Amino acid sequence: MEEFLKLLKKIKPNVDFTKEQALVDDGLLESLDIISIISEVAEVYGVLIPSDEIIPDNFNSAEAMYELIEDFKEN
Amino acid sequence: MSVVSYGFLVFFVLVCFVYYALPKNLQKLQWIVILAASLIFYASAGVFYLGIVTITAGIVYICSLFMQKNLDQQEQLLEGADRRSARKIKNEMKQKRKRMLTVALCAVIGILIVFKGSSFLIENINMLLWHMDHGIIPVWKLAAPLGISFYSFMMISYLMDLYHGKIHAQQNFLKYLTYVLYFPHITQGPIGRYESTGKELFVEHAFCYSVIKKGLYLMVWGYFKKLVIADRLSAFVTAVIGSAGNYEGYIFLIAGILYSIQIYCDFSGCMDIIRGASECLGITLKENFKRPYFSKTLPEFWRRWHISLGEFFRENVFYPVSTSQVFLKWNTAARKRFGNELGRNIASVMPILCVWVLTGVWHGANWNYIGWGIYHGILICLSTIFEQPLMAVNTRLKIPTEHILFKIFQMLRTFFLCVVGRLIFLGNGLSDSFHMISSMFKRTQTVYTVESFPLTVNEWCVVLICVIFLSGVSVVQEIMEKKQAEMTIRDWLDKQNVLLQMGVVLTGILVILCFGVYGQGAGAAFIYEQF
Repeated sequence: MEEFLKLLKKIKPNVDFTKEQALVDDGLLESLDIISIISEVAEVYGVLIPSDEIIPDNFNSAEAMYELIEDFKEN
Repeated sequence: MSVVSYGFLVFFVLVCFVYYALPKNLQKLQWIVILAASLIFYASAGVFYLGIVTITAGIVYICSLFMQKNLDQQEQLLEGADRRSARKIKNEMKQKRKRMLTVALCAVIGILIVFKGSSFLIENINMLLWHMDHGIIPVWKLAAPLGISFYSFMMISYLMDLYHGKIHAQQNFLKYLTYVLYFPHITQGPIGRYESTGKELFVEHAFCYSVIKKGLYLMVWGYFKKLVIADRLSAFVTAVIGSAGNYEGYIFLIAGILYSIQIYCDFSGCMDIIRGASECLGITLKENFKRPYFSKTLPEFWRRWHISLGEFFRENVFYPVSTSQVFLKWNTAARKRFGNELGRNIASVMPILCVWVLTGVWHGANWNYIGWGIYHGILICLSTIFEQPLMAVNTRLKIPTEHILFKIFQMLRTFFLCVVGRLIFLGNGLSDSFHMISSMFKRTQTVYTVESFPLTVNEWCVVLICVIFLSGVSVVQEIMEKKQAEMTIRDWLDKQNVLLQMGVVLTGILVILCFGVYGQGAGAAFIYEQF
């Protein structure tokens, strides 16, 4: 998780990913940020997140994103 | 049957009467009243077209049943599975659903292309063949069914939601047909989602005076925008754009500005009428406009104009294209080369352009619409790429970006960029558009007077007063939204005494009757009805 938080911080340095629980709903993450996170995740973890997983629930917090990656890692 | 005709008003009152007059034990069949009304409404545009919509809906319905069967099997397989294996099962089942989705999408998009794009494609192929000295393919000019672009996208949205397992397929074909044909939304949208509209369509709706009253307020407001402002301006815009070759200079800037006001009042007015009509039946349709001319940037403008189309393209084109392997690699490479912020913006250029070319084509297979789409695509890419550098320049120059005057400047800048886009959209061929845009700021010897155009001084005064009033109401709405007020102007009015409510509605109706353009042969068809 620590490594993943560093990855997020690299993409969006001004956001406190340890605290925020409504990143998409509060407008802290916009569509281009989400695409950047997905591309970074594909690069670092080799995990491809399909476009239909781009829903606010999956990107509202660092934990939700991490869970999503873990799920796709296994498949 | 246009929603601004007397026929529609009589039809709508009758539908409301039958809808609410059903005895309590039959109220669960209210949707049949809507189906019958929608069939009559659509058949009035041509029975043949009703056949086309029904066949398309039939294909979608059959494919949706197969997809639902797959979802039901998935449900069984998921019983007892842990989260990770559940995800695996879901992915496997999704692959199977993809076949049915492809069949249905090919049918819907194929029919859409045949009616909307075939003549454009053949004309352009013929142009190529002519250059290569080959024979020529005969062009078929097919009149497209009413609202084909809107209902096709609603069907695609339904299929995509089903494919992703977000909804359950409607098992009753007549109910599905009711959703597709629902008379308030079939001609000009909004491109709704089955999840919300579908639910509301098939539940009982008891007569509620307050709900109907609020629906009527919205309808009166919509008729005001369409009949008093849009249709009055239409005469001027048609005169200038219809014979653009005969004009030159600043008149095109005026025509562009007035067309921007006209198209807003026309489309958002229609949305208000149909949303109001739908609310009277107890069914809420999605808001499609949020005062777009208050936008400070073009991306913001497109989040506030034709919202449902923007959402459709974001979900069904932008995200899938951006998350394809090729674009993800490109995104990573661009961020490594140019840094995170600039890199991701540069990488988003191609997906944004894809969205905008398709948005142009959605309006019709025509070089003007495609040119308009590319124009907006390029501007949005530039706006995205230069957002950060411009912010840095503003900070360095200590420009007070939060000052109201700077915000007004940003709004005017966005409005001007839209006006130029409108001239591309409007021209009769791209050369016409280039003539209008290039001539816009040229000095001209020609002097235009009020008499040169179809509108009289009195008509100009009426339009001006009404546009000022519309702007005032919009400012109030903006302020209420900024202050996160929980009520809208309609909610506020609903809480006032009956005399004030009656006074406002009657004044609105009186203004429409005195200053509106209506009656046999008067006024203009809705601009978006042709799409």
